[in-house]
Amino acid sequence: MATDTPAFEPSLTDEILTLVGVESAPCTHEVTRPGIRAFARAAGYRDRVYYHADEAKRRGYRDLPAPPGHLGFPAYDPEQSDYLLSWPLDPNAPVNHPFSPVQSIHTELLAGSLDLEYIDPDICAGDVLISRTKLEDIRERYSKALNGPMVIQTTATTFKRDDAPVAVYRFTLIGYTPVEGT
Amino acid sequence: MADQVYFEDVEVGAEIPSLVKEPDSLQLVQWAAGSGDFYQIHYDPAFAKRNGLEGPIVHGALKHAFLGELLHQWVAPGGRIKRVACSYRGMDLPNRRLTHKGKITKKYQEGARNIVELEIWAEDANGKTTTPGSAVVTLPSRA
Amino acid sequence: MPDQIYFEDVGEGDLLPEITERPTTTQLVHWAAAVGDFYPVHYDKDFAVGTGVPAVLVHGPFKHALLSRLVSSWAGPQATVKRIACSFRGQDYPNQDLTVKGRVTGTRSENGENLVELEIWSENESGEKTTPGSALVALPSRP
Repeated sequence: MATDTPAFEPSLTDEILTLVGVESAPCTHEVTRPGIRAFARAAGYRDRVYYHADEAKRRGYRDLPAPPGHLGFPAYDPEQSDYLLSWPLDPNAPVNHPFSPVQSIHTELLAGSLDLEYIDPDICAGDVLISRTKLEDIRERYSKALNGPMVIQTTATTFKRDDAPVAVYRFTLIGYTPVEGT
Repeated sequence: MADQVYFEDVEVGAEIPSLVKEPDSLQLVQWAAGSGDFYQIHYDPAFAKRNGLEGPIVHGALKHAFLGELLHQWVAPGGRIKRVACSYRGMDLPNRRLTHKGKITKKYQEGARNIVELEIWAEDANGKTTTPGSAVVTLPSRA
Repeated sequence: MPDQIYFEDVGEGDLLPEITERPTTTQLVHWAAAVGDFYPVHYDKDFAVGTGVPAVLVHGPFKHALLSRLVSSWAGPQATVKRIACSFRGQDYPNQDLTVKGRVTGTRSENGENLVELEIWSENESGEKTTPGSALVALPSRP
């Protein structure tokens, strides 16, 4: 604990620090049957409710219900979306999605934490959700493991349906640049 | 958008503008996502090596899609693609240049439709044809 | 239909039936496809090694989804999952056992809801907690 933190070149500019509180443009997420099946399949669900609309309706849902964690799929546009992460990406906007702005500072990203809170968990195929991502916190510190600086940011993405919030997705992301020879 | 190609202006034997692609691992995984083909041979090097390959290989259906794009960029916006066929004769590896080409083999009218048949293919960086095929498109008339 | 668990039957210290997965590279590509996260560290081994990790990494949100599955499968069809939170403390790799576990830490009734608080986490093959977290669910009352 007594060891000094090695000096490092900060990568966070004042300009980036002022982005705390800034919100992204809205992003449209479509909740679809194929999207729900793909998510449920990837997460390993075998419950028919995520795959068969008849079963979903028999169990009182409007359509296939979205498994926890699934909030639709960002509507992809090759002119306006991030090719790697599928969310909208406006190069002139400071905050775009849960991966920005740290994505523009460091090449390597690691997930730090994810906190999903439902306000209305009744999300089903056919729903269209609108999200906005707000940068809640961004800071930098020296990482011993990485032998260099890392940036830690937290974003809160609020998903709404018909203007009513349905969920808040709070994501912490760590960005770093690998040091040669480590 | 490219200028429209008209039926009257095309000649048997002529080549159409080629389409160069260099698919990387990201594009192969996006293809898996888009097509639902999750066979590990396209992204898992250890799996590909156990199958006697040098490494992951490009999906055949992705090359078919590239040939479709080759035709689309040539006939758009007024023409229509009627058929795209190809055989997978050679494997292609990611991060290598793949050039898609086409040559007109036949043109004729059938009723009101202006039909053009083509030989199409993909060649690897050594100029070897890995994916030969054929296509049928319709083109608008100048009239 | 899966079994329903009722609020009256739940007590502090109860353990949730654990789920063990051994994520394959295919499953990681399924995940990339399902959420649209195509960051190559999750499927391109050379890329991953270049960033300083020993192998491709299991996506953090995939582990969040596994924890969600643990909770929702236990809570049953009439329950409402209200919150699932976790921290990604350690990396997990494909083709290694990944077990998700949970324990009831508290129960309370509030605004007409029967709430259950849970401690949830994932463990790797060595028993290290790589993804500690917490959850909140509302359970139905015994009819």
